[in-house]
Amino acid sequence: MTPTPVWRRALPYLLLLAAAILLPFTGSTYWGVIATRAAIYWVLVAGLNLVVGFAGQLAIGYVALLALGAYTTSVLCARTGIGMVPALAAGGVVGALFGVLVGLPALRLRTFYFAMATLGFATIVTQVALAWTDVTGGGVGVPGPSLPAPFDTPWGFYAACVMLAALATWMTANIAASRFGRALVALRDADVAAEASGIAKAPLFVTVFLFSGAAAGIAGGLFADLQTYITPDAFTFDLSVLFFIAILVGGRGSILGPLLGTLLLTALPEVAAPLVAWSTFLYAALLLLIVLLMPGGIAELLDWRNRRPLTQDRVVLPRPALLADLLPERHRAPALAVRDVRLAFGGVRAIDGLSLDLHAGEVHGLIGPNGSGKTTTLNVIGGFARPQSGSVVLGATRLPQGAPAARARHGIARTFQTPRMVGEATVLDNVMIGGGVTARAGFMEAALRLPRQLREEAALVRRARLALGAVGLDALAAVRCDRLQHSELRFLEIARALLAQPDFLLLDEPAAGLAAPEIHELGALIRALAARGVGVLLVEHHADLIFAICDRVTVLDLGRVLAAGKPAEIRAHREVVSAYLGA
Amino acid sequence: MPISAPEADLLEIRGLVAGYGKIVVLHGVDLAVRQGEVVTLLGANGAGKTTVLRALSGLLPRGGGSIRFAGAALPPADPRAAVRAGIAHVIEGHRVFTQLPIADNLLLAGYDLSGATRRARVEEALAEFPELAARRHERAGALSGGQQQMLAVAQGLVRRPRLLLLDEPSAGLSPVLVDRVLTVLRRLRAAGVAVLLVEQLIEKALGVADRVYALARGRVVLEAATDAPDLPARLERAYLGEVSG
Repeated sequence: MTPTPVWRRALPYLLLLAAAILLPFTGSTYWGVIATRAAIYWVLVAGLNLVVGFAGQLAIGYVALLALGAYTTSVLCARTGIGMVPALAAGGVVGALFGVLVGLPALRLRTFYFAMATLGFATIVTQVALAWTDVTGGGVGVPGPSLPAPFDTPWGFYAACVMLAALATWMTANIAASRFGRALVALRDADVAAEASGIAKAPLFVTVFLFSGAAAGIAGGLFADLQTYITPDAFTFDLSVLFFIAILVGGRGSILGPLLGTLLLTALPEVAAPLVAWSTFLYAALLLLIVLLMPGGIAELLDWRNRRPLTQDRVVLPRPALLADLLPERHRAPALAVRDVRLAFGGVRAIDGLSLDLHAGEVHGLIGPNGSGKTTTLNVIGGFARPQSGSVVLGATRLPQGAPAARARHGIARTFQTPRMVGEATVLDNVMIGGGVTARAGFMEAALRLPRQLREEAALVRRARLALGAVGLDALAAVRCDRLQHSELRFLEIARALLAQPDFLLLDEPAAGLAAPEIHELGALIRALAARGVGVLLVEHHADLIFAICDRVTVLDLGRVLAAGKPAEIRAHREVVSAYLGA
Repeated sequence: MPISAPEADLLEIRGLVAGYGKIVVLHGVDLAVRQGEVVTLLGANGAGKTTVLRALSGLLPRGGGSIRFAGAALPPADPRAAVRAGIAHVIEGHRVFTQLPIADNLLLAGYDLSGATRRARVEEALAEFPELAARRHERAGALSGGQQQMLAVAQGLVRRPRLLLLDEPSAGLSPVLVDRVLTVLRRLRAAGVAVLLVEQLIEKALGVADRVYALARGRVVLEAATDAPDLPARLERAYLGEVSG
């Protein structure tokens, strides 16, 4: 499958924009108002979509940010007399600040607990708006602001809203297609792999909450203009539900789906006017229908490409020669040393005084009976597990414990015992998740497609294709990852790890579930990696593979080193044979 | 055991068609397993081995064909019926209930057995894997990946099935443990249990099995007794034929 060209992906948006431009020519002010409202809602939903649809955080109280933006803009205009444009900007700032405040619990609370926290915040905002009569006018309310000419007429205001909606679409689509969008989805569907790829959750979430909060605040200011007069009653729970459900109906991880969802949910009660009283019921019914009939939402309905069958007899044929281009000649990294590490879970000693050295350009096998502490050792090196004593040292640097996202920058990448991928993303996107640490362009550079972002993105795509070629999966680049076979996922994880240009690669049972010819290819690939200067720590149970490709082997038993040495020495080691290899 | 053994087949699959949504993976698979027989199902990744097991245990709907088990037709897409009929399926990827203790994982595997029987069967299963028995009160999530695989196999034993389906039981197990699992299979066979084994370790699978089927592109391309003298050459052809096709 070839990737869809840009114009084909932009086509639905351009058609919608054309329809928006043509709408005034119908002369229907009634539909003009509805379209204006839809555009305003979409400015909010576009930002919220990054939080809900991409990051997977159930933020349902976003009407609170709409209210904050609306009151900030209106009160500034009415009480200080500044123009609506600076007041709108202030609304955006207030929305952004409170967006972070509402969002912060997401770093600790999961799913429904976070949803409840955002709902609670929405209630507080309405109560404050009611009680703080000096500023908000309480139940009486405050007049809404008005944009200066030429945006002070209904169609002028409509034009302003459509332009902002188009801007919101463009920016969020840019973010979604950048390393930030991929990182959000990775945190949602494969958080451990995301951290191992160097994606730090807290700073990314704060940035996204700032952005979506600002969008909601600006939407609030526009909303106040549209309403001409605002009271706390305008910010109902139903509105919050509409924003949230528009995204679910649209489908997570999509921009077009939630956009269509917003249009649908705004227009639906109008088309069927008697149903307005039933709107909550309607939303609920629509949501149930979506969940039951098409869990992927509108976006999945529009995804024809991934309903085409794939060829079944696919063979993974790595091309290690491509590694030369992917991993350029570098200074060899100093040795990675594990020093006297002890780690117990409860009363069980998982690792009991383990030391080992991993050298650049060397394949180091780590074997041992099940439960002997092999994966735990990888977790200590990868920063996922905090040992009670001992350290991991890279050259002269002592690596901090319990900070997995920082490991990628030290040149340490890994794969997992059960492959951890983003099933809904393409194979290419999954590989590119691994390359985020090498990029420098910031969030706003991504949102505005500035030159540095475009350069880095193009380089990332090129390297991701190289990595896919190197592991033998280039033919599947455009396929959704959840359509791949288990053996292909094993190679895909290696490609993702390679994109971080690691000095050290930790492989956790990469041959499990592979057929004999695939194991042979895997062995050649690992040797080629070592030849490029990568130090590989290989946890495996296929003794043949271990003895064929390792320079050095460490055998663990009960969290201690039972034996260490050259493969030939290990193969002849009496205790290793009886405890592990078998007769 | 000769292929022309007189006893009736325990499991008889005829013309099985199955897949995922509109994508058809199996194009008419015929396969039989007799009582007390270990049959291994080989083939490259993507050939449809796991799909056969899933269609058989009712985890996947069938697009066509029939399955007879112990003399009665097995209804499609009804995992409970398959379990009641005496089929246990150990799925790939050590999927155990990580939040529950090991002992509860095993008790759940015998969900509809009576209390006393269930406890006795759990002890039997634990006896095969002393490293699990020693940690029976710990959460399954605290086990290493390989130990979780051990637990998944133990779960398959609790119901004392008439037919045990094993999907890559060796994945993640150390060589000595793989041998132990295969020893358990030999003992099950002696007790009259039939086993359908999907495995990547071909040598070890052939070592324990009576008969072998090879699957390529959703069809059976080879059926043979494991003691057939020309088996290695025929298996190689079955695999190679798939690659070049």
